[in-house]
Amino acid sequence: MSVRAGVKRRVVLRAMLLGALAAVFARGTAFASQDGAAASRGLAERAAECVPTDRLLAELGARYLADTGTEASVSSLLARIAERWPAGATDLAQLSPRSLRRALAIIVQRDLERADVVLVDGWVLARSEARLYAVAQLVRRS
Amino acid sequence: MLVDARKLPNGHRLEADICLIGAGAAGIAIAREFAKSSSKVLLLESGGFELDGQIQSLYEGETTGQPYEHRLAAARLRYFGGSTNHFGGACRILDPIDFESRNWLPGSGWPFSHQHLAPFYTRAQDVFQVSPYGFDTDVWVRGTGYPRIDVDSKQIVTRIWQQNPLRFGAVYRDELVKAPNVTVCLYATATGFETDGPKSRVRALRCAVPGGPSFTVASRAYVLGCGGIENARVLLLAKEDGSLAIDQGGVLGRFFMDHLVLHDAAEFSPMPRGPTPRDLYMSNGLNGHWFLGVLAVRDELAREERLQSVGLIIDQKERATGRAALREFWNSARQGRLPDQPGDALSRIFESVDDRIDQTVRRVFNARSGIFNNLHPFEPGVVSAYVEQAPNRESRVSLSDARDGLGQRRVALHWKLSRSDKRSVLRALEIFGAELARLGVARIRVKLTEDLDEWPERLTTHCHHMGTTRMDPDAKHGVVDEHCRVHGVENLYVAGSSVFPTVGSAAPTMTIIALALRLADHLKKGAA
Repeated sequence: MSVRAGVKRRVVLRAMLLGALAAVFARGTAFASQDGAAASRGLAERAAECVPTDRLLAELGARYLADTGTEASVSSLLARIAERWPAGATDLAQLSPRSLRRALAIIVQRDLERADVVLVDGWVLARSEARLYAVAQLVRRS
Repeated sequence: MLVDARKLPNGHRLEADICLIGAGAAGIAIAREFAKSSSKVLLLESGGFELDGQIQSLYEGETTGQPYEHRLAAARLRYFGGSTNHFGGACRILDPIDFESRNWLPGSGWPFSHQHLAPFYTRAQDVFQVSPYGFDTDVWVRGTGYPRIDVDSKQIVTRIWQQNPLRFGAVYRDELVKAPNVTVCLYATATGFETDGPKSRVRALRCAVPGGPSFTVASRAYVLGCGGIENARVLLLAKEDGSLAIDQGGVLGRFFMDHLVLHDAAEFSPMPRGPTPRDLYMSNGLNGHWFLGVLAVRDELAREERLQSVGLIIDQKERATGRAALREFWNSARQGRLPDQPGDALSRIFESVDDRIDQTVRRVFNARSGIFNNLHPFEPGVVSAYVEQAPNRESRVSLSDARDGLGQRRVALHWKLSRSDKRSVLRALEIFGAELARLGVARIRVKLTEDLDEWPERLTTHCHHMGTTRMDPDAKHGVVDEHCRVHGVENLYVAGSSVFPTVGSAAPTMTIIALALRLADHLKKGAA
């Protein structure tokens, strides 16, 4: 394996893990001061912020969108993610960025516990994790 | 006693109480059981004590259907010890679920449970020389101190495969030749049966040597133990020539199964700061006993998801196993001796120290330049999958038009897989990937297509030929009954993996031996 491929792999792994599962614990404090400003932004933008900017994650998001034609809009993706949050979409939308990160990490973790996963370009991703990458891709595209 | 059939006069007649046809793992295990009795045992072997090209060529045959990587004449060995002369020695019992009738898997269900076979598995460990640790993962964890990664998992479980490439022929040859009631007859190839009028009892076995004499064996009972393909061939020939009235259900030769091996089923990318599955999941030793932790879907989830058995092996960079070696030194020292292989153990300790230094250097430089990112400990591995093939009626052994050196029809193998085979491995990899991500161990990238009819070219097998004379109490569904007796013939039995109705994902030799010991007990009861 080349050095470049190794670097890429490490970045991707870190991004996938930190972004979807553990970022809230590692980086959450950095966003605490932005809570007030962020509260006014939409759920989609704030959810997208939870996903690190990374080319492979963007590719996975795009691939998920291409593979699942019925989930091609931000609203449908967010609705499906929110279905897995017991307090519902309204509650998710009202969470601070820090709490939103935690909530998304919990949703992803629950998907993994149930082995509710999807293969995207071969990667075994939690279904909500894949949807989150797709949301980020759509938001950043626009 | 040792007899060379090439030197027998033509038309000679040998006599015995038990005639064992084939000196592979099953035949040898049964012969050893009777070596402790007063019964007169004749152990026939088609080959000699060494490989003989002319004899080996009797195994040639054609293959069609799903490409079968191995030539049939190379996939098995026809001399004393049989295919244990080249097998890798993987050793594992079938799990309880493997014996169950699974309503999502047509043709599944053994006539008895794992519990019934358990005492024979215990005895088989001694024959296989893999005692005393057994297959309880916790025993190996306690013995080695290696952590298991599935402790908190409700989805996956670690199963232990042992490894001992025991050459049964070389190890047990002298014992059997010296046994006063056992005759080992080399170069004796079974060519047919002579039966009484209603064809329900074998009166004699016809044998021949290519280019040599023909002779017969008269015995009270006959056990066919020639391997998963050849057992079917011998019976198909007998069915064809009309000497045996067998196979009411037309299942003889059908349901051929092998373990599907996918060496590169997925990429395994350890998380940079996660716990790494090592030691227990690498080929490793405990006091000279080699083992490997294999991950599998838990039985409860497999039932819920309707999955066949799949064993997943993480194949990372070869890493030194210094801790195991240190432990070997420590345990041996407590017993006042050196480890079995002290040079090897010492070498592993040095390698391990070197490995740790290497890791530390790379971790330090990783943080700054990333230049070593592709190296250990971040180097990805691959996941190999060992998959249970579903019983498939169209996957079969039959007779071809070609003839062997004795003028008998050769074998033809038509290998056919099922969509459930692919579905099982894909779903097992998904569950595995989800759970390793949840546990913070690794991310998994599956390298198989999702098309259930498509198999990669790299699909291979370990030549575990099974299922062609399947066991079922009902003669319409099986070739042999629950005692491994051929339906319709009162004194003919089959030993070996050809009787397996389903096959799990573990290597079959332990189960072959356990069944052979069970059959030996049954025959002894009959003799009494």
